[in-house]
Amino acid sequence: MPRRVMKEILATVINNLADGILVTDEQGHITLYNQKAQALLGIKGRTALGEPVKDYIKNEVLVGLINKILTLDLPFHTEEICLIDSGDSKLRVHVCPVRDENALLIGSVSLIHDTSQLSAIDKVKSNFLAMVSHQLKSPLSSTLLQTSILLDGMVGEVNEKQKDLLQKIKAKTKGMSDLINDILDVCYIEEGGYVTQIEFLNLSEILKRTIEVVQPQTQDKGINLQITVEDHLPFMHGNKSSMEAMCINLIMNAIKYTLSGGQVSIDLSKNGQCLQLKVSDTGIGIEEKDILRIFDKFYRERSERTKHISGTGLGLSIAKGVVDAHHGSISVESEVGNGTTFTVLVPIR
Amino acid sequence: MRGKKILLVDDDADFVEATKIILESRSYDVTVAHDGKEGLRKAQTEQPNLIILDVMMPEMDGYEVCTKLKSDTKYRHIPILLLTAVGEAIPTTKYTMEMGMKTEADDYIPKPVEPIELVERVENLFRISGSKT
Repeated sequence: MPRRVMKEILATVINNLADGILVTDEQGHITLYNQKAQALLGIKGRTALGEPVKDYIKNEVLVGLINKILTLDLPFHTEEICLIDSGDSKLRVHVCPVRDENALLIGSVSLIHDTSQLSAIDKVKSNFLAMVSHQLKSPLSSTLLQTSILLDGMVGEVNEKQKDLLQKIKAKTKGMSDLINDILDVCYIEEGGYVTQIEFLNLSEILKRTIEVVQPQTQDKGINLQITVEDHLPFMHGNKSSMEAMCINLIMNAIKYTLSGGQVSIDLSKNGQCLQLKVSDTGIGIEEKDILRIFDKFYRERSERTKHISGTGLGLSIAKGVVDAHHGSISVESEVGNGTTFTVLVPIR
Repeated sequence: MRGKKILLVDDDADFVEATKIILESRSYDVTVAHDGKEGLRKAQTEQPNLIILDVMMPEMDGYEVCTKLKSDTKYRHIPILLLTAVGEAIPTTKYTMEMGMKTEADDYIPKPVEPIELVERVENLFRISGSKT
């Protein structure tokens, strides 16, 4: 095939790609872009070729990424992936360096993918899940109440065997109800709902209320609860119900994985421009292979030592989702058999 | 405490039946409404001593019923216990207890609820409202 024909075919293919493509030279001048990139990035006219990328691309994040790739000139293959807002659409961009056969940096190539449709589908899925969960939750609440009535002997005596079966029904139903609550929380985090209602929060007050809620469980299990809260902590900017969810999930988790007679310590203090919440336990600890996955949705360590512990596998992913939404960080240190410490840092504002 | 009239407003027939059994076991006189509109009407006609109000209901939700009653001087004194269907011991979703509080409900309780807890909350509300008058 003649070179000229090849070139034409290549140009046509690039122009018909479903994703946008934008190429620059090592100086950051635009050398190639297709129709999709033109549409997604709002490049006006055909005059952009040869011009500096910063003059023609309005999106500062993308321009910044391209500059970073070109100026850092790292010896190994690098790639920057980022979600950017461009008008009504959400774009996912991949920026990679372009090198010649001698590995010399000769430019950058950006792939631009429109995720608006995906986000819309995700939202539909999220709403659907929330709706289904609500529909499931109501009957479960009734079933739980009905079971309690039978168990309490309000509608007649029950014998030991019946009581045992009813207790099992109740425990299973409660488990399902907990799972639905967690799913609703996850949906809400994914919808970004927590970020919209921001107020001044007294985290020590939230922590106090959480501890009141978990106290009966620690007493039942014979766990020593140690609480240290620094005096005069500043209020933080955040979403109240989500911070409550974060606290309760971390603390309940610690209680759940600590054996009778163990200790759970909660420590709230100021650390630079952040509030720091440390939840430590003397529990069973987390195996190294599991530590990277504990924040994944529905992930639970499955082994002999955890099989008797019930849970939804969503608690820690909720906690992480909340911390992320507040631009904070969550880290974990653990030693099998000795216990686990979760450290949360959330910016005060 | 005995012989007091409680209006129970919830669209879930099973939940209503179970709650009625619990309250009647404590000798309360229970009247039932199956949606927000009926609840509001019965609150006005039946003059209950206390209202247990579900949040998520067709026609008119619990918050609206609560706000309507609390803004009317004739019914403001009736204690209202809101039942929030979503959220556990601590509210964690959209329909938070926080919203329950903002609607001037006198107390709130998350579903699923334990019979003993429900009874305690009801008795507590009667105690508080009794000491006020």
